[in-house]
Amino acid sequence: MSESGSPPEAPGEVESLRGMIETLERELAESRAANRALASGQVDAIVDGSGAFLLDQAQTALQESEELFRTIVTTADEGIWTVDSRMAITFANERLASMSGYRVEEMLGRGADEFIRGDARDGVRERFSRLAQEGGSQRHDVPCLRKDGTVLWASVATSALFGPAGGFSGLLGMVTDITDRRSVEAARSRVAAIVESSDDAIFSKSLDGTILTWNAGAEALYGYTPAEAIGMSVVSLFPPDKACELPKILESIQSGHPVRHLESDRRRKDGRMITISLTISPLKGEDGLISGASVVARDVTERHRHEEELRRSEERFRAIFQVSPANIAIGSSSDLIQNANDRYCQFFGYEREEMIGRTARELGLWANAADRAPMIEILRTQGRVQSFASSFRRKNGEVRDGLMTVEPIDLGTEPMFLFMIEDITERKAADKLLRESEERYRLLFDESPMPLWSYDQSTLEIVTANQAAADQYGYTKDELTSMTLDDIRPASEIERARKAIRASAAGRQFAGVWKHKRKDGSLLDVEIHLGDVQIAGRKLRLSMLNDVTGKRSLEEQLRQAQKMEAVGQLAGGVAHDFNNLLTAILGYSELLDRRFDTGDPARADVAEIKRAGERATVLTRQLLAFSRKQVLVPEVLDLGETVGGVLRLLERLIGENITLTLDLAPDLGRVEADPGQMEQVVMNLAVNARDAMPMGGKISFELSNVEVSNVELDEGRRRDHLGVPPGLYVLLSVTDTGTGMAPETRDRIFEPFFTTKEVGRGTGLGLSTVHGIVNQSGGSISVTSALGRGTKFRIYLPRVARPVSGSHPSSGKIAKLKACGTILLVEDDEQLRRLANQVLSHSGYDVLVAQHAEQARGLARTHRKIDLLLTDVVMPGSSGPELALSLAAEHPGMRVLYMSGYTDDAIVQHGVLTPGIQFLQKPFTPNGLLHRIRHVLNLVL
Amino acid sequence: MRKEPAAADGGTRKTKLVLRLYVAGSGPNSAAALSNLRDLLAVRSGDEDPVEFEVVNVLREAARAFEDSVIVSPTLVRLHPLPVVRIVGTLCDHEAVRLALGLPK
Repeated sequence: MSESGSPPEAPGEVESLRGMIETLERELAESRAANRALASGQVDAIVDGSGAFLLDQAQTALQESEELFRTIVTTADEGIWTVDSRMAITFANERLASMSGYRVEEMLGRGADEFIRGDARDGVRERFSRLAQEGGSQRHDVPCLRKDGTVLWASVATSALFGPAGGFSGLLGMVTDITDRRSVEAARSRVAAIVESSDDAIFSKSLDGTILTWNAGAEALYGYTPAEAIGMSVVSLFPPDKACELPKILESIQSGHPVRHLESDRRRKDGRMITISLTISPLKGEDGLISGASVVARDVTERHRHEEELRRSEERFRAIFQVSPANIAIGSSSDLIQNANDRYCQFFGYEREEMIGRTARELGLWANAADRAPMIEILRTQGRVQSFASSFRRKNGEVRDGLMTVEPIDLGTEPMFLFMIEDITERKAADKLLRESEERYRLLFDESPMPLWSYDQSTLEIVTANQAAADQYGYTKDELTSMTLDDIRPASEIERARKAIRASAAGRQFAGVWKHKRKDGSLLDVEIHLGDVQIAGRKLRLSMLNDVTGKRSLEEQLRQAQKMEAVGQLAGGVAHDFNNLLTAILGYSELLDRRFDTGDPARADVAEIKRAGERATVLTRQLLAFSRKQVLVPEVLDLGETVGGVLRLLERLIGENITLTLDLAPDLGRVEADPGQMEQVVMNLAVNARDAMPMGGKISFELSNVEVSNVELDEGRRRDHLGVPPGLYVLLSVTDTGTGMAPETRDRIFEPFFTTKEVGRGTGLGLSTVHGIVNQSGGSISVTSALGRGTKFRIYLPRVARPVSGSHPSSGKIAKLKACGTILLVEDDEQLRRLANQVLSHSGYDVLVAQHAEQARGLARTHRKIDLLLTDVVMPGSSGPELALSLAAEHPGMRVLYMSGYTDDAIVQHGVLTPGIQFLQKPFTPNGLLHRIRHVLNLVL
Repeated sequence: MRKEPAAADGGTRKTKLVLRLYVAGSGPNSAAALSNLRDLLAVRSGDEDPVEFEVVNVLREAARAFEDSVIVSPTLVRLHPLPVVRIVGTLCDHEAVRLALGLPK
């Protein structure tokens, strides 16, 4: 069968099928007619392959009758069968056997319904039983099953048989094979369905032009219903100007020639004109003569419209091609320029006529002839060329840069190519300038010594970063540009920083100092200046990142030092007054004590007063140590020996679960310091460390030579030595494995009375004392600690070149002499003055008592012999040292002992006693005073 | 295959109607059939297409009958125009015979 789009070619096939059907039907009819004729006695003779047999009705014998019957049955073109009353097959002829594919013997005795297709059995049984009851005969088309399982469509004529007594005895059936007929009918209905469902208009007409058939497609095309069209003349379909076509068409058809693909206009029922394509074929009748024509018509109105549009579009294209601002040419595969637009000609400086018909090579359009081959290669392998950069020569010899694009186009002739050349000469020059400019600014950014980066204000992505920034943060530039600002902030600062960025106004500004995180996790204080930039449409912020960590730290130290200084001033002032008071308390309590007998119970009370006074004395001394107002007696010493000595003592005292280690560098340098105070420092640090390790642990003492340089390259050392002035030092580090400290605690540990210990366990002066002593000794102290990671103190003491002092300068020989001699006592504090006078007089000295320097000078003028001047340092009017100086000329043998609550610049430089000067620290006890006076008087100078 | 009837007679190509009546000698049904056929043909008007008419006795030429698929006599066979039509019996129903042969009323 053909597809719906073309005229059906079925008539021939249909014809042959129709012929078969007719033959079959005729044979069937003839067969029936023969039977009827036989039955009605209209037959004289029967013919078979062996001859003809006369039927003599008069002498028909039963035997002959049976013979006749058998002959009819066996030669009949129909299958013949009988069944008994139980529907079992009792007879079947050879024709039935050949139809069904069974042998006759196979069929006999089996139920008739076994040969019926399953779905039809019930209907057949019902009809048979009705025949059995009512008699008569029936004819039905029944689907039967051949032995091979295929379906045999049978037209079955069935009659009921009755026995001599009139009872039902079975059925007689005659079967005609109509399988072929059914398939012909199916084929015919298929053809009809195709015709009817075709979108093409298909109709037939007689030779006089009367419409005979009319399908749905015809109705859709012409607007007439089949009822309207059939019987109508085709003339109605012709518009007046096309009516002349009809005779020509009819003439062609009558002469047996089809008209193919005739395009013409026709008129619809509604009057609208349509353009159609017609194929008209002659139709032959059963007699083989041309009786009419079939017409297949298709609406090509749309197609015509499209063709018209295409033509117009081509015209438009041609116009666009010519006036296009792009340089376009069309060339053949043989390289001939077929066409070129105005711009193309202008680009090369030729007239169009000069270019068309010539090749690019002839014209020398390629400035570099060598470029052509690779372009052709790309075109060959990829079928097109896109933006092929080359340079082209104009007619006047000028060379211009261009990007060539080649696209194959189908113009319906030989393969053609569209050549487009984009002139990029100016753009290239501009690009070069731009690149140079960009390079200059890129260098300014990249090579800037100031760390810089830019970030996207909305996403916080770091977009660009320079090398200085990479160095400052320890990342590579690539790493930085794959990070966001959040990545370089300590987690605790992220939210605050985001808020600040959101809130910040546009424009150049100082954004303050922020904590940033380096790759190694260490924190930086960064001073940030911001500016706005816009790069490639992105709003960015340029940040200048000035690392002020060192500066901040120094500022912090300075602040701390100032605070300590202020506290020191205060403590020193209080201590001075306290010392006077304590000297009086201790002195008078000792004098009081001497008045009681050994067994007097009052002595115990006096002892309590003295003990309290002594405790107060210790506290006052610590305060003074912290405030650097105590008097140091420095010596050149080997700190290793000092520390080692203390540790031997400590090992017994500090607890079994704590290990002490000492690591001494070989060739350890010497320092100048008060050995007693250094011992105090070591003791205090050890005690502090022990208290940080309630579960035990290890305290490591390390002594090494270090040099602190201005230019410290090592990051770790630079941090360790932060705040230490450049120079050569002996470094004492004390490390414990204890609980460590939080930063807040660490910042305050040197403050006096700051303690983490419970009330009553510490005075809060231990580390303050250490701090004071180290500073007063010209050294520096720092502490690093973290919670759970222990604590490390570093004490830097300046190295000295001098050798270790031989012995203590004050350890002169003391002569065991009776107390005698004249002492000039100068003290502005009345209590002290009276106490000292009393003590000294009791001991046998002659005492001259003066309240101030002026009075003392007066006394000195009247007394020639003064063995010792015992004077306060700080007094109203002249100071102690000034007094000593003014008396020295008149009393060359006079020795001087200063007493003071704290040191003063008058006798000490920075609290360090000038060698040779004797000094008594207040508060003192009567015994201490006497002992010291004896010592000074007996000192061998 | 049936034998092409025109081959034996020649010139049948021009004739419009070729008939062959198979009879069994002068059997009563055969005689009736011949008589009926003559009557049928006799009523035809003179200007109609000529008829070629042959009578075959099956008792003498049984093989021809068998070849023409004739199994009983009398049988009238229309050989031309095609298709071949066979009419069994005495042809007493003139109307049916006329219709079967395609003759006008």
